Amino acid sequence: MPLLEISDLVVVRDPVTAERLPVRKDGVVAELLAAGDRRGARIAAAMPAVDGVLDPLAVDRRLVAVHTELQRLSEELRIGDRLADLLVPLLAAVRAERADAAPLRVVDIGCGLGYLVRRLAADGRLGADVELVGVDLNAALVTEAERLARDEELPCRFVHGDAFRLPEPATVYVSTGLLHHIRGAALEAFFAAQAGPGTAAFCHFDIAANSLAPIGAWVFHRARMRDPLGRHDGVVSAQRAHGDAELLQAAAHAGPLVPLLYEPRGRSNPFCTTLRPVLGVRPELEAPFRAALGPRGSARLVGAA
Amino acid sequence: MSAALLVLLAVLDAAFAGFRASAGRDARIRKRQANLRAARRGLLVGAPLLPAAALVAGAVLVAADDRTARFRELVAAGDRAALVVVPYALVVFAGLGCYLLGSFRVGTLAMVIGLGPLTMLRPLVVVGAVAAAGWHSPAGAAVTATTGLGLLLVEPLVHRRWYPAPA
Repeated sequence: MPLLEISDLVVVRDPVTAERLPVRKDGVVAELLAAGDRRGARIAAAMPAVDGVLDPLAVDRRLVAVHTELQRLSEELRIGDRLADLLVPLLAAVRAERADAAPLRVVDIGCGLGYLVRRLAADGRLGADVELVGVDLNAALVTEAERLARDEELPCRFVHGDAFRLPEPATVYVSTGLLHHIRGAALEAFFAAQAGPGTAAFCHFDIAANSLAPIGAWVFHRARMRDPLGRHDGVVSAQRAHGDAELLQAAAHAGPLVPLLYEPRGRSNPFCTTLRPVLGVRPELEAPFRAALGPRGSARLVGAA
Repeated sequence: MSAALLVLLAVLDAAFAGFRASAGRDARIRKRQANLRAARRGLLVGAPLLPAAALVAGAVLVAADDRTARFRELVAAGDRAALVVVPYALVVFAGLGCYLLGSFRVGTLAMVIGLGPLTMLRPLVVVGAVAAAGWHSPAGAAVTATTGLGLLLVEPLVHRRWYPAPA
């Protein structure tokens, strides 16, 4: 039976126009019940609806609240530090290989409330020549991300829309907790879309798939999150996280970028690495990136067997 | 000695409860001031606990035929509660030290195997402390139960009063 996240079901967009479509509550409940998820169905059934259609404003408020709680997990699991730990050497390698001094652009796909972008903007670790952009299909999350960035006067910006349709491509695409939402052929297409000539690399963090992940997710979401929807989706996320081999295989569709995994299973302590990234780098960048990572960091970086 | 230690731990616990009540409600990046304010709110809500516990202790002392024996009984109850609470507090402080001072890998480890699960265990530790203190001592149980119940209420009360929705 499929593992479904409620947050994926309560916001539906037209695949062509990306316009938000009305979502019938009974349809969401039926889908969850068909997947054998009675708890998820109960949570969905309790969501406010008007004439059987989920109230979009209430859904948005709920998602903003859940993402705010979710940010706490990112903070506690030091996801910002982990991303910076890789982006600093990666961007150093990009700068070294470039002939011009054009600004570099880091785009966070599915940025939600833009925690990573705002965090990187706040500590300035990547350098003044790096433009930080967060992109999300959910307008409510983008609006909130913009408000939060404005409130702290952070040098970053947010865009509501498709990250692959920006006027200028990203030098590096990043994301956290996004990949498990993308399944099958769509995952391959997701990576293929990042192979354009303007893009030097990508770095996508997602839950490390191992037998401990669902237990750890349950403990953490019980201990740290209050919203039942967030708790539910957090555990399902861990249950349906992609395995290392599956990710490397999918990332190979971004050729000519070289697919790599950092701290995969067997090369890291699962208690220290709850999320691990899949990367893709231009072939000419791999050696300078490894050099910038140093011998220990480079040893944690593996490619396809 | 145990009583002073338990009072100190109760005060710290109230401050941490205030922080936890606010956590997940403020998505800003720089929130040191907000965190300190939340800890102060925890202290504010937790502050009446100590007089309440002292009041209960005073009442059971006054009601006793042999007040010296009852006083010794309460001291022994405090010692037993400390045997449960202090090891937990030491592990929490060790985890916090690793989280705040260690690398991000050490910090993650401290969070995953320490601070996260320990938050879930906290109510059980309070129940354990009440049970230990109340072992053959209803007076000890009354005093520690008053304190324990109050401590467990600080986080939900602060959350409900100041952090019902994202900031």
